[in-house]
Amino acid sequence: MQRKQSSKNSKQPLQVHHSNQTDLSAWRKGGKPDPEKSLQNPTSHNSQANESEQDSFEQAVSYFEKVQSPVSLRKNEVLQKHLATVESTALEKGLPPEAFDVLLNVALSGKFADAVNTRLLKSLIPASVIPESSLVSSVSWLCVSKCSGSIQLLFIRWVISMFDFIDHKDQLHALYGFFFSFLQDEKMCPYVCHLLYLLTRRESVKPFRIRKLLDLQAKMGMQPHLQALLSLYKHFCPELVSITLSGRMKTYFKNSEGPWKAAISAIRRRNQKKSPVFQPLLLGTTQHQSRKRKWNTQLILPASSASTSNLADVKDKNSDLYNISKSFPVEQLQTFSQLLQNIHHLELPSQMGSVLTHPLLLHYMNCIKDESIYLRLHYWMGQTLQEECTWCVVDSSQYEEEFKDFLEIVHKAECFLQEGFSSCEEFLYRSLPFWDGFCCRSQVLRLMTWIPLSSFSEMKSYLYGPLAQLFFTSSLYFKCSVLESLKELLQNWLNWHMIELGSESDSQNHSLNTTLSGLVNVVAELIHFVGRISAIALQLENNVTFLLYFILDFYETVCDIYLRYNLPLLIMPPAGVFYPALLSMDSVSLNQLCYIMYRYRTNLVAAKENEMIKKKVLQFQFSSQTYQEYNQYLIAMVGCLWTSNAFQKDIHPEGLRLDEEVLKKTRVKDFKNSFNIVYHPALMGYALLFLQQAWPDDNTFNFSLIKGRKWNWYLEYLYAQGLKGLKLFIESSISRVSLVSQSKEGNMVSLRPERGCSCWRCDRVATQEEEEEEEAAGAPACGPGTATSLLNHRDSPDVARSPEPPARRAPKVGPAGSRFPGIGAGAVGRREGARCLRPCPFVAVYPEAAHAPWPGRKAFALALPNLAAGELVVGNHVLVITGKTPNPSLAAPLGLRQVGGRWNSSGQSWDSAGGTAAPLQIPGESVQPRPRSAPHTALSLLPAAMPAPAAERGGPAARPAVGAGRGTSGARLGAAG
Amino acid sequence: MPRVPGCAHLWCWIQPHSVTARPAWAARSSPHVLLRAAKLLRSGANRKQRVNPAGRDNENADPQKAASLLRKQWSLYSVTPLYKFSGARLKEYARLLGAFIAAEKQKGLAVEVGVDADVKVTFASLPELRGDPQDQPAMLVQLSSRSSVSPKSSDEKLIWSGCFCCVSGEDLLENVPEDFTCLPLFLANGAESYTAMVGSWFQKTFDCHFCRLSISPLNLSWMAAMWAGCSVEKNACATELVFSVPCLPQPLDISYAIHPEDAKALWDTVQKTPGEITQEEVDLFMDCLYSHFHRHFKIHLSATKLVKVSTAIASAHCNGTIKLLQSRYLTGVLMLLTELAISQIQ
Repeated sequence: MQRKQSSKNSKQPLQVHHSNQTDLSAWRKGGKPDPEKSLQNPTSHNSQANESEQDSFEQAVSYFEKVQSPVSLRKNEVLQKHLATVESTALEKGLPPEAFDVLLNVALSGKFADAVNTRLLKSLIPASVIPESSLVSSVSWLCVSKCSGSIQLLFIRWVISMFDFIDHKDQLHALYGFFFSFLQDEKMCPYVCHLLYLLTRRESVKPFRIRKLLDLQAKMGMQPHLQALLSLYKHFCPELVSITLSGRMKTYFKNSEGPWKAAISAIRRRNQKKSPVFQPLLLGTTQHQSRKRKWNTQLILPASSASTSNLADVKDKNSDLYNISKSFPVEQLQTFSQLLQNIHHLELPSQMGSVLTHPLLLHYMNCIKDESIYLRLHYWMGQTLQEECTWCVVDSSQYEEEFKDFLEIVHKAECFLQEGFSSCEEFLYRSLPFWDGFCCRSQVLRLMTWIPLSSFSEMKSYLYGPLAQLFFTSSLYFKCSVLESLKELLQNWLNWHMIELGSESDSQNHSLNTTLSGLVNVVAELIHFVGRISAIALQLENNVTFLLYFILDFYETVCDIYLRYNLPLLIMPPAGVFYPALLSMDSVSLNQLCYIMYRYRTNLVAAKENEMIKKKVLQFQFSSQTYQEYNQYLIAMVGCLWTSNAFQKDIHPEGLRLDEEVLKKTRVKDFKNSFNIVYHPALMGYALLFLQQAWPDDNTFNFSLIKGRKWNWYLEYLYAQGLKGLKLFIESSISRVSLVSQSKEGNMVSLRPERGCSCWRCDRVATQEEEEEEEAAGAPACGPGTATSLLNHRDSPDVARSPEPPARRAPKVGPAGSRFPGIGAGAVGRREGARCLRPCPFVAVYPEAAHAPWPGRKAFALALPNLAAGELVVGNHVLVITGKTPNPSLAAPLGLRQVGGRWNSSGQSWDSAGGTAAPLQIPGESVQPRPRSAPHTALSLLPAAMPAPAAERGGPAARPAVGAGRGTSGARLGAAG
Repeated sequence: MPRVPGCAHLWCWIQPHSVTARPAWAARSSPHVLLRAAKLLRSGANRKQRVNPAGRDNENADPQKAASLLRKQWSLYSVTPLYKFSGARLKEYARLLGAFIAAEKQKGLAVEVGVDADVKVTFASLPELRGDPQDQPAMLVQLSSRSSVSPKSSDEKLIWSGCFCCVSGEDLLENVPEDFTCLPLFLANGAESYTAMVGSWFQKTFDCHFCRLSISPLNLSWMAAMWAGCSVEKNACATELVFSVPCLPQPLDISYAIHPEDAKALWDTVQKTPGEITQEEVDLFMDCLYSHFHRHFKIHLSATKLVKVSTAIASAHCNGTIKLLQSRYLTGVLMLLTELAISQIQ
């Protein structure tokens, strides 16, 4: 206990240092020689002074070494001088190891008076360590008892205080019996007990010693120092002695550190790195429970104590003496190096519960595969959690703090082990249905993050059910913390999966025999669950940004599962999450969403590439639905933020698509561009600031000024404001091909660079099924300034690798559907439909090839203004072109032919595919993208998709053309051409 | 405790037609059929239990030791498997536990192990108390005080006893490594302070955990049904069910006593397949009792909580105490309790 205090003190060096100085000066003043000078010197030492001091110290030591006859202090000035030198040196920098032998010999041999001996002993402060040999010789002096009792006592106290500075202790342990014999002395007994307490190892506990101690106990009664020593004996050998200490006792040993306290802390500070770790031996009996509770319902973390497993060896102890030294008792385990040295014969504590608070044992647990350890812990923890659960057990609510602490400890251990305990999982499943969501909230939620990943199919009913109920009925902050925990749970699972992947080569599999598909299902279930509750929570909480942040944070993990965690799973957020984020009032959410979409794209593209490279049917492929969903979202996003036609182009069933009439009724003037990066409520503030900077004199806040080059500046401005997500999204998903740069490449046609006239493509990742029949939404030229074209991801490698122009490659791609055997009947039907209409070459663009010069696209851009009065059928898009007659020379390289007033890319007539639609007359000059009006799902079932929508198109097609994002109209592009 | 007037000793006449048309005597179980409890917690409402004659006939058992369990009020505990426990070293354990108790009683004074203290500890094995050969033999721990006046006199007074047992606990045994000893059910009789000492010694020494085992009303109703079906000799005491009325300022208990033969007759009509009990049958049995009670007293017992069942076989209270009365059905009752204990620790 004494040692415990000292270690505590040493943690407050400043304070101790202070008290020290006064301490030291106090006892120095008692001495005759004036130490003031030497005290004042040290700060202004130069090297010479140092040397001279060193000399005088050596002289002093040699004086003490040689002195023969007893000298009285008062008469001998030489002695006074040397004594003062030793004292001052000791205080300033401590004594070198060599000096101890000499000085201890002198002090204990009784040559001088006790006053001198006392002063010598008090100044025995080590600079670094104390050699063990000097102690051994001084013990021999002790045994011949040349010195007085008080000096002996002081010496023992000195050993106790300096115990941690003794370099080795093996020989000292050998002297255990000598020290033990000093117990007889009543005065010395307390200190000797303390010293023995420090020295005792399991092998020093012998029956005869116990008997001796018990005799002393009988003679002296209950003495704290004897109790402490006996309890340590019991600790090591419970089979020999038994004692129960009351928890009231705080200190068991008298303070023996007094005279050296200050000096010791000074040394510790000096050689902080070297000084040994102070860890008091555990008595294991000091847990004091003030309250009265039933014996087995107290929440006590058992102290680590000797295992009783050695009880088994009691009988054959004599025959097998070596066995004892082999095992390393857990209470001696104090440093990591000890753990490393003894890891092969470490003895585990008798109660496994104690490992929770013992980091070294947790290390040990981590590296051994002993089932019984986990089982012992499992049983204990399971029962403790069950009994102490404050909301399940009646009358235990008063112990909530305690339970909290316990959960905290368990969670810490889980974090340390990077592994969940199965007993915690069971506890959560059992108790969550009764949880009020308030009691020990953060602890319970944190425990939840460590639910082990297993293909446990009942997780839904055990975890998700109760959690969802609480989630919907609790506060915003609870919702956020649940989402946070679920995110961590997901991350822990994914990390676990990564580790499993890494250690796959091990023949010994993890106990959870999870197949990859089972694992994917469990993870997917979690993500879907979070998607569901997030969408509902956003409704409940009015799309508050705070909540949205946590939801998007979750999806930041989800969107990267494939690349970062190597798990073939990507799940898009539900529309209930996506659209609130897209239309959020807060740039943070929008930026986060942009980043997430960027990562989705990266993952999907990588997945496609892997599929292409491996050229084999992988066990797991992302379903086409994922691609479709991504594309739908992407179209909606680009429509909103970039091309300013959000309400038309969105093809998501839950999307923003609104009929023109409805929009008109809103009487909002420029509804088309109300969500582009200038007018978006989350970004308008930036636009305002940008305007102020760009046109400081203009107070009209004319947002329409931001176009053309200013548009680019504005983008740069946004990026500089920290909207990195937006930057990544725009740079990756909207590939912006400046016509200027194209013309520099000198391909085919030179185009007069016009301000702000650049092509933009919205890069989508195409699904397998989509490849031949492109979706309408992304593809159409979005207007003069911006042209988003569709990507056919599938074909792209062909396109990219092929030196041939894509126009010629295209027909090959059409029937290539047969390459994909695993596609369902509906898809096959679609492919057949597509085969009738061979895909238009400029639909087939690989994203990576986007920057490569590709004649077809430019020709398209050029051709557009020259085509007129008819429909351009591009894949399954129909571009309605009115106005001038087409220039056949430009149309030819594209393989376009006018068929009955329509332009068909392959030259085939619509009629051949069964289409009978008449050419449509669109008033005014415009180029209109024609999104498919039928819902997506319905379309996918139509085998010959093209003609049918075309026939139905009459109504929607009559809508006025949608202008481009930045106010540039179709007419302008025409002018540009 | 107030009782509903006039119903403290109600002798009921059960009308078989109110239950089923089956003849009441068709399915009498043989006296050797031992009760086999269900996996009560895990299998939910649709549980179905085979009442198989699994238990060995304990006619040959040492009547002395088995008798020491009878007619005593036992507190029930569940105990997680004992780590590194060895049945061969009971004497040594007795010495250690004796020293531990001595040290506990005189806090602060060390006690040498093996020195005679005023409390003597004995460990005894009860191999007859088990259902299957795989079960661990039960272990009886007894504390007896030596009179301080004449230490050498042999009159020792039994002050506390505890029994660890496992009757047909193979469910638990299946997955447990050999370092562990499964004795999941612990019965204690005597001062709680001694239970605490013995319990904490076991917890420290064998790294196990003790937990009070309370019996839910559902399980009590199972006990009532199962024990009603057991044939007992005539002049047996009445089958009594005690119900507690919830949500009252003062506790009110209703005692409902039935003649054991009537209870058996009712159960026999309810039980469809001999040797098998289902939850539906148990519910039906209790509903019959409730409706009968309601007819007489207009009290819906289904709205109250069943707190105690006492029959000629045994009596059990929901707070986790039990009194065993019939040596013939000893293992049967312990089997049921073992199941409950296992479901609590798993």
